[in-house]
Amino acid sequence: MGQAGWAPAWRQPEPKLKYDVIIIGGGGHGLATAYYLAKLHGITNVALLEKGWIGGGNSGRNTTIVRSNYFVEANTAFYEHSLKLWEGLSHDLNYNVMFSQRGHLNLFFTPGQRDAMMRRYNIMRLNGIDGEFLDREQVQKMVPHLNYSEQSRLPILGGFLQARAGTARHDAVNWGYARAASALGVDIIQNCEVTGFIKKAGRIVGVETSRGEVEAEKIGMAVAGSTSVLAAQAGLGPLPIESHKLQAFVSEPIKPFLDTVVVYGAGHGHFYISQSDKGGMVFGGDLDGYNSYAQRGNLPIYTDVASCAMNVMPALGRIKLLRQWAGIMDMSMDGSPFITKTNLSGFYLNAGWCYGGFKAIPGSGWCFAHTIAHDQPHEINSLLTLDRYAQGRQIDESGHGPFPKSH
Amino acid sequence: MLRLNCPFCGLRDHHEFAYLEDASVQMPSFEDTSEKAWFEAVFLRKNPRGVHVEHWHHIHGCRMILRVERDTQTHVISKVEAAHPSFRQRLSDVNAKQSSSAKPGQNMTGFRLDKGGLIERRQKINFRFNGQQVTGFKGDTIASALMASGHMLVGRSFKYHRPRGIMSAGVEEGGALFNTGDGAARVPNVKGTVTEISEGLRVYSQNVFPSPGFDLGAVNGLIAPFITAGFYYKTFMGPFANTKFWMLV
Repeated sequence: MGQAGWAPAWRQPEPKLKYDVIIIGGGGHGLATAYYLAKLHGITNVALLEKGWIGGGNSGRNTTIVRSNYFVEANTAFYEHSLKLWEGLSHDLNYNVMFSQRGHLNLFFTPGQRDAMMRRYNIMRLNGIDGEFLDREQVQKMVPHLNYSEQSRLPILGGFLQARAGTARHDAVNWGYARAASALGVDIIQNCEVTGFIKKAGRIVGVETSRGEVEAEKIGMAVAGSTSVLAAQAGLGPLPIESHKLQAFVSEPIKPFLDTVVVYGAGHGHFYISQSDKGGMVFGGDLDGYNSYAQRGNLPIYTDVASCAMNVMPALGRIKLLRQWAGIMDMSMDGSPFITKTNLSGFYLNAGWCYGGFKAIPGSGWCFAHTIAHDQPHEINSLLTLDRYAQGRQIDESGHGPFPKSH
Repeated sequence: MLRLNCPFCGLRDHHEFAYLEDASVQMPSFEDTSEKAWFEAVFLRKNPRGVHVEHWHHIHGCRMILRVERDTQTHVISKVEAAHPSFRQRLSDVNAKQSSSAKPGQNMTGFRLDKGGLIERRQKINFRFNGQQVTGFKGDTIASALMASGHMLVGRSFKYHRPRGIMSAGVEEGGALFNTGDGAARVPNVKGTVTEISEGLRVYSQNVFPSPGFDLGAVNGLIAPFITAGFYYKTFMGPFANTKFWMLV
């Protein structure tokens, strides 16, 4: 009767002594990697080791936006591939991840912004990614309750829409991948912190964990936020990554108010907002701006983000804040990620997700699984390597240069 | 909320500072042309979970660049000092002299702290402001010495002769503009915020007659509506026969 009789959605096995593949990190990326290893590459003897509980890191600390409006070569194919996987994900996992293609509307306020974004959206369309230009009247028709005053600090001139973009339910994504991976034989081992690496003849052959030693042929690491710490233990050396914290906020639930994702950037203002299915306004802005591993934020960003919200949505002024959270971002030197082999044989790296890890979950797991299974990257992630800086081919969407806090 | 104890200004809120970068990075010398050295300095970071050495800019304060030791996990700040070694040396010299000589409160005036900053409190310097003697300390700017001696009104604006005080701590100063020197050595528009005082220096307020407090030119303010910004660009342009009265205002 009622809610009785629910069985656990995934097994809770004890770690075995040896696996074919170990994935470190039970966030969306690690879970998706384990799932695709089992499903697409037939590697089912896989352990996924998670320090806390699955989805308790950045996979549970984001604003759930999914989009693929990228324009630099290495990013376009990857994020579009990820978006396509999102479109079939609920069916694939037989688990409703609540992917809602409610659209992603990027506002602009100046002709300069319009031209830069026009270039981006034209390149997207040349790459077969959807994108539309909306003038001021069209934006007003779509989202009538933005600030269209002539006196606005940021007068809305128009927007660019990616209609296939949207939001998904973050917990459902983690749980869906976990259940599906577990059913295929993957051991999801929670409360199992990796504390060191076992090396034999210069090769990493296993990990030391809080629940004993575990060996494996291949080890993949998907621990964005803490990548530098574990990479140093593994012997990868300093990486082109800084850890920064990014805050986000959710308001008290309100009646249906916003049926798309609204985003803008204007000078130092940066803002994105959507409404969750529960009714809360979910929004965020910039990084706190200084290196940090603390999963908590500081007050100046509260003010910044709230004033950004008031600029375009003055109607939010009397909504109460319900919760706030902060996640640790792997901010890479060009704002783009890594899904790559490393100079350690049998050791693979998935890192550097900056702001954009959530939308990348399916694509990242898909590419990382391929890279691990074949010991070489798929064409889609072949440019997302660690050595791209030394080779002078940064993947810098925003053009900020090697300053992680600016991406 | 982070708070940094600026060695020049004291304990201040996060809002006044801008984070710059990892201060442990040593850039190679310009003679070093090795790609590896430059690649490592520009792109690789230790990114420690723990104590991190970093540069912060006190951008809304003294404008000095500070070297800060902060724990990236707990945010505890263990050390704040001037980033440049020459300033560290100068601060420690000044502080050593003060702590050995001064009793608490001895050097305090109504407007000046007992210690701190980059001034030498044992070395007094006399100068003249609008003919009146003012005493400051070595290292004072004209602006800091005037503030410390209670001068809030230091000049007037050039058109309406509105009262002007000291408004900034740097090169952008628009209020504390002075004439210095006499006769042929007179220099106009000297920024009081970036000019150090010297013994016997003569400083004069600008746009004041006879004094900043009572200035006859302030009468211009009464006709402000008729001489609005830019009025001179139109008023004195011909042909006058076609000039309508509303074009003058």
